[in-house]
Amino acid sequence: MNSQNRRWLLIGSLLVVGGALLTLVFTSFTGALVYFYTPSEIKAKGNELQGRKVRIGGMVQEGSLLREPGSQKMRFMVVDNSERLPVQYEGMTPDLFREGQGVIVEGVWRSGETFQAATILAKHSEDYVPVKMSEEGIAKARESMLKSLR
Amino acid sequence: MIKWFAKVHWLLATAAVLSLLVGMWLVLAAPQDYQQGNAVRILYVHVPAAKMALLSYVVLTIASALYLWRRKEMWDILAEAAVSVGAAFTALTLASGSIWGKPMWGAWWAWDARLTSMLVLLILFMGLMALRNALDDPHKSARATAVLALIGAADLPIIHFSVVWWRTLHQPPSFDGPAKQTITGELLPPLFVMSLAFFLLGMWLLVLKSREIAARRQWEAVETERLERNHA
Repeated sequence: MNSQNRRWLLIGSLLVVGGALLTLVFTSFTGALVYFYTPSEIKAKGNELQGRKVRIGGMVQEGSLLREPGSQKMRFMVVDNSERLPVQYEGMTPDLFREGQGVIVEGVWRSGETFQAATILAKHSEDYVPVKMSEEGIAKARESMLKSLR
Repeated sequence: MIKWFAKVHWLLATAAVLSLLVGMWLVLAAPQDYQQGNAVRILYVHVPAAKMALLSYVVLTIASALYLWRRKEMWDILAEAAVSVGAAFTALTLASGSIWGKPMWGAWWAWDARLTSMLVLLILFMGLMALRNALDDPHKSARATAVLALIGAADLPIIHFSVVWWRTLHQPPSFDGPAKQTITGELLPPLFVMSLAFFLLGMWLLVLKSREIAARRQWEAVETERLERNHA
C-alpha cells in the first residue's frame, strides 16, 4: 500500500471509530436508548406524540386477541402493570407472538384513534424452560416480563 | 511467552475440539424450550460467542495497557491477536443473534441498546485492524492501536449493562448473582459445556494467532535486514 492510501485509510478508520463512540456516548445520555414506551407512559404523554412514530411495549392481554377469519387482520390489548391500549394490526406475526406474552408494537400515534401497528415484534423474557416443566415456566416468564415493564 | 505458547498449543487444541464435540452432542440432545421450541439451540452458540467476544476485548485492553507501560513487543503481539479473535466472535454473535431474532422477535435486527453497542464493538475491532495497517512505522502503529483500544474499552460496561439500564428488545441476563437464574433443568448443562468449549477455542485461537504474528514479524525483520545488506 502506498503512503497516500495509508493516510486515507487512517483518516477513514479514525472517523468511523470516533463516530461510533460519539454516537454511543450521546445516545446514552439523552435517553434515546430506551427502545419502547409502556402504555402508562404513552397515556401520560398524551398529545405530545401526535403524528410521531412510536414503539409501545407490554403484554398481550389474555383473552383479548381477536383474529378476523379469512384475513390477516387482528386486534388485541397491550397491557402493563396499570394501563391498557387497544391495537390493530394486519400481517404476519412472529412465532413468539401469543396471548400473555411480551410484545412491542410499532406505528404512528394518532390521538383518539385505535393504534394501528405497522410492525409487531415479540419480546422474549430471560426465562428458558424445558417443555415438560412448562407450567412453572410460564408463571415465571410472566413475572419477569411484568418486572421489566416497571 | 510465545515459546510457552508453542508448548500448550496442541493441548489446548485437543481440549477445545473434545469439549466442542461433547457440547454439540448435549445441544442436540437437549429438550425443546416451552416457548421457542428448537430455536433455543441457537443460544448455545450465541451466548458463549458473546462472552468470548467481550473476553477478547478484556484481553486486548490488558495487553494494550501493559504494552504502553512496558513497551514489550510480546504485549503488542497479544493485542493484535486479540483483535482478530474478538472480531470473529463478535461477528458470530451478531449473525447467530440475527438468525434467532428473525423467527422469535420477527426481526433480523433492531436498533436497541444491546444490539447497537455490540455492533459498535465490531466496528471497534475492525477500526483497530485498519488503524494498525494505516501506519508505516510499526512502533507508532502499535502505540496508536493500544491507545484506541483503551478508549474503546468504554463500550464493555455499556454492552454488559445495556439490558439493565435501558428498556431493550433484547432480554436481560439469565444469570445475575446467586439469587437469579432463569434457565431451568436440562437446558442448563449444554450451556455450561458450550461456554467451556468456546473458552478453550478462544484461548487456542489466541495462541495460534499470536504465534502466527510473531513468526510473520520475525520473517519481516530478517527480510528487511537481507534487503539492506544487498543494497550496501
